Amino acid sequence: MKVLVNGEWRLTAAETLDELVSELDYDGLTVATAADGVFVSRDGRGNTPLSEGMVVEVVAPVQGG
Amino acid sequence: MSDDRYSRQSRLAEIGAAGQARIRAARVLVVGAGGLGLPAAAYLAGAGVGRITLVDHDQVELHNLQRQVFYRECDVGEPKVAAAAAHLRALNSEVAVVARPERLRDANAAVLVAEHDVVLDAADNFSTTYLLSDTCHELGVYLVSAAMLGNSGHLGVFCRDAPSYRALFPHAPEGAGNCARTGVLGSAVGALGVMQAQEALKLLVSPEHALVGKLLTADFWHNRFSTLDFSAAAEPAGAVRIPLLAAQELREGDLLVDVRSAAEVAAAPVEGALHLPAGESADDFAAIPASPGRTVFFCVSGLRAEQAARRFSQSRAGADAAVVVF
Repeated sequence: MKVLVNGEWRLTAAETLDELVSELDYDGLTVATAADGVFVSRDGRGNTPLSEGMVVEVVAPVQGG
Repeated sequence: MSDDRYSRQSRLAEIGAAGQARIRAARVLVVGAGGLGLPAAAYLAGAGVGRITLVDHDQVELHNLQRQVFYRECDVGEPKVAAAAAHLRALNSEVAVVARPERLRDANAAVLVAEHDVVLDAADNFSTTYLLSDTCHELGVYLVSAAMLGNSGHLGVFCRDAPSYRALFPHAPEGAGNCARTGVLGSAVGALGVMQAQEALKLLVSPEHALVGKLLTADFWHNRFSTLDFSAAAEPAGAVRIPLLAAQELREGDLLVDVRSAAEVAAAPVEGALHLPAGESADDFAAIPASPGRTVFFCVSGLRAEQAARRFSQSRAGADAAVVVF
């Protein structure tokens, strides 16, 4: 299915948010994730199924200013 | 005279005379007088915020001026907060500007936060952000936190009736980039700093319009902006606070543990410290002798030291671990 990850369409075989984060090689421990604009905790990613056209955000914390 | 000065904003329906009075009565703490904090503080001073406190322990350096454009070449070598305070006072003499040339640490965080209505996290390191968030969460004070690297960053309002920074980001990345290593564009970080001022003003006047419980991610190169709602994020259970110390707070009997890499230690050795590089033998805490005093970890920014101290305190019951930043 196709999901929009950080503004880019991605074709993925992942079924859950957790699988998507691993598939895209993000550091699952440190990033914050959101599905359709709402935060999903690290523990909640495994039971968050992806759906066609879902808007996913994966945000890595940064330091600097 | 005063009325004329602020008429362009007080005539806005969103501000009005009542909003201007709230801005005038407000006390805002700005931690970090750099690329974010300076533009934020300048716009807050322009808007007539009653008291602005600036906290930063650094001096102005030439490589700051590319993005910290409120400093002048003649400020190089001066304490940042002194130069910044002079600039703000010249902009608006009605604002009480307090300059605190010190690093935010456990010993001063609670008192500083408690004396202010809104806190701006304009710091350049995770250690300060976590300390500010923990303190604001405990005291119920809004924290406008922003960070910027390269051309991308994020901005959100945390604490009080929103989850803390730790609820959104429970773990900072090991070996994260910073402005010195990765670089940062001045106009991008400045834009985010100005947005912090905007959020602070909204929190003072009309908090329902601020980014409370929301994180804005901004990529100023590709012009992509996105917001996520973390208002339902749970606070992490059992998070241990590792105290952040300043060098002058070290005392006799403290055991110093240097977690920098061998190359970093060779370049700038610290005498009398046990060397235990982070990452290489991260959990080899057996090498740390039992100490009746504190076991105090350090690196450069405090990030690797904080992570090592956390693992150490989990691995050794009763250990008194802390982090020092020089």
